[in-house]
Amino acid sequence: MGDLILELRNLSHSYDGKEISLNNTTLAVNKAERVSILGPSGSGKSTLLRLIAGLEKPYSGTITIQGKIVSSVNQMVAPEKRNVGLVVQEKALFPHLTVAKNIGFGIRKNQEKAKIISDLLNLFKIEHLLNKYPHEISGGEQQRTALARSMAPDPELLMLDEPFSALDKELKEELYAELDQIFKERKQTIVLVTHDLDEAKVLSEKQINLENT
Amino acid sequence: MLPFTLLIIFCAPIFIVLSSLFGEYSDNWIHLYNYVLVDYVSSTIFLISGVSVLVFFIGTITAWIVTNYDFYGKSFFEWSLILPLSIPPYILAYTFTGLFDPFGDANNLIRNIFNLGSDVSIFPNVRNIYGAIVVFSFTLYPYVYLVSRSAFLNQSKSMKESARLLGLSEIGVFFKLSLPIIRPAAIGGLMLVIMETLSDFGAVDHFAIQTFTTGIFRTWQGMYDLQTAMQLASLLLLAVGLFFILERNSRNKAAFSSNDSSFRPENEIRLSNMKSLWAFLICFIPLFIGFILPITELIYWAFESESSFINQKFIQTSFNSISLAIISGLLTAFLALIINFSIRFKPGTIINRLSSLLSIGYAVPGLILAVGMVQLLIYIDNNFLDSTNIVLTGSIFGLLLAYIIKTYALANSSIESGYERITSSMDDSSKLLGSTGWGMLARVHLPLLKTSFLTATLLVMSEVVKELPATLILRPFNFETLAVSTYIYAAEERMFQAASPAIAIVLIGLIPIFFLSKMIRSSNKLG
Repeated sequence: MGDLILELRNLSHSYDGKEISLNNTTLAVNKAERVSILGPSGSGKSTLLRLIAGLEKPYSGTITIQGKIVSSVNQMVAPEKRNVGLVVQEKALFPHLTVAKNIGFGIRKNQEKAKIISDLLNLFKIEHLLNKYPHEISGGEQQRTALARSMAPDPELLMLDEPFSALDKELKEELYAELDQIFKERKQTIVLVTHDLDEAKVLSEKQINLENT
Repeated sequence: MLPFTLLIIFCAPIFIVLSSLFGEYSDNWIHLYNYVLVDYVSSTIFLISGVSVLVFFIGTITAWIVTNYDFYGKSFFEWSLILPLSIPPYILAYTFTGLFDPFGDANNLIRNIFNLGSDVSIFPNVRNIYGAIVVFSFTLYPYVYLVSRSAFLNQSKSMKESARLLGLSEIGVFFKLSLPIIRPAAIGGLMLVIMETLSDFGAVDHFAIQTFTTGIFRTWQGMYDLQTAMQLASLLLLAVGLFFILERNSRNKAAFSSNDSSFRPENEIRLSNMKSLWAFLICFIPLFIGFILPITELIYWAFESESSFINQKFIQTSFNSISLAIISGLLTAFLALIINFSIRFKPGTIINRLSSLLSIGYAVPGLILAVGMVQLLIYIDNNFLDSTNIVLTGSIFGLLLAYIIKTYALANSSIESGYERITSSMDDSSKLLGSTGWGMLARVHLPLLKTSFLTATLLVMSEVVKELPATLILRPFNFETLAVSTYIYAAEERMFQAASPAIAIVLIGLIPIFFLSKMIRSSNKLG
């Protein structure tokens, strides 16, 4: 068993205090491990990622990242202090910033900012887009930019919430191959939420059905 | 032909003023140039800089708080923060001096409570440029609040969450992400604030600040030198034109600030008790200074006034104001309807471009419009009506024409947005069913545009009732409106008597604000 990056213990959540959106979930993810979370709509897949990111507070249970409890009923570490990345379907790029500035957004104080941006532009094959704005590039290019932006601060854990569901099949397959390579090279720990079993098999070594956790 | 004729009439006063730059320069101009022009320019720049900074902060911070946080009074502040728009800056200026002068009501109250001597003055002097900055900021911030609120509402929630995960705190998200994104929209609102500040005459005159508008008025009414007044007005007009262009540019750039409109904040952040109190105070202070305080002082004056609130003079001035407002409101709305109807049938033609040019009058300060209008009317009287008994100078006609030119943009935007909701298939159906041309306007468009027409009329009416400098100059002899009456009483320091016309202006100004706040409330329910 490798170094434990993420551990969820008996995690439950409710948006309104009445209806349970996630019930007693337990999960462990090791360093460089790639795990997919599958499950039907409404099973709480996205909620799970939002809880790990610190965007929601658990109803009960704990979340531990790198041995430190970051979420519990009485304790919440702010999202910006968890060193995790999240890529969502709508990409959430900053419309007033160029591709390069979007990627550099999370590493403002890093001495090697320029090099990191340049490396990621090359890695995701978007170096020709560095001065373009989000509305000037295609959906696939926007998703590459969003992935590059999330990876720029070198997060311990990268979470992907159905990031490819808005893309067409050919583009998806092209991206799968590239990302598989990138994640392997960088030994990136990944938690992927998807409803697509094929996608889960290509991008992760372990698939978990949320209903069975 | 109609649009061309209108364009000539609408632009003539502006061109007349600008043409003075190519005329002769009198000794008065040389005197102004040598001794006071620098003061006019520097105090105007200082005033608009101070107002811009304060308005930007008040408008954006209150908008951010009400769109992102759940706190005590949030739903009330969402719409009530626009109430200060109903108070013209000159009325806030009058109530400010009434409250904070050394023997003003606020100082008297504090002295009475704490049993202090009459030589003690608690509040600083407000009759200066700093007082004016506060007055303009707290009456005009809703321009920035409204556009910022709308832009913040359109910001994607996931975008802000991404920023948190990339290392920004909640405050960091505001300063480093949300604010830069809405900047073009907020600057657009700010340009309107600057244009309003540059146009004002009543407040700066009351505070005795040397700005362009007070300079123009004194040169004309004090030195009786219309040519020099027009030359000064031309300089102000050029400055206003610059901000007008900047506002248009900001509006175009603002497009990206709302391109994520499909994502609305799903759940606002619930603030703890202490933070909730801070949020309440931050929203309450602008509302208190810009609306509650002046209204309270006006009501106090009205009760203290020896003459009754509703006297013969008040009835007469109210009648004058309201009839002028109704006539100009209906005429302007009808004009905007006819122009938009013409565009509907010949889209892409020159009428389209001419229509947007007709809106230019909104940016022209009332004082400058009045200066140009007087020259235009004198020219018409001398050249076309010489042999008749008709004199347009100093008539209601000139006043109405100035109001129409000044408020056409307001009516046009309302009718234009109403027309956007009438599809071309409705026109086709109307034609197939036998209603074409004017018949279609009367039987199809007008019933569908009822609300837009009413809104346009109300917006124009509210502006007309508040308009001071143009009314002061163009009104017929001995003809008083509510704004003129308030100005004259305040100039004579008869504040108790100024209360009733001032309250009437605010009440009429509240009508379009009421509709606007109703729209805000209903958009919240939909959201």
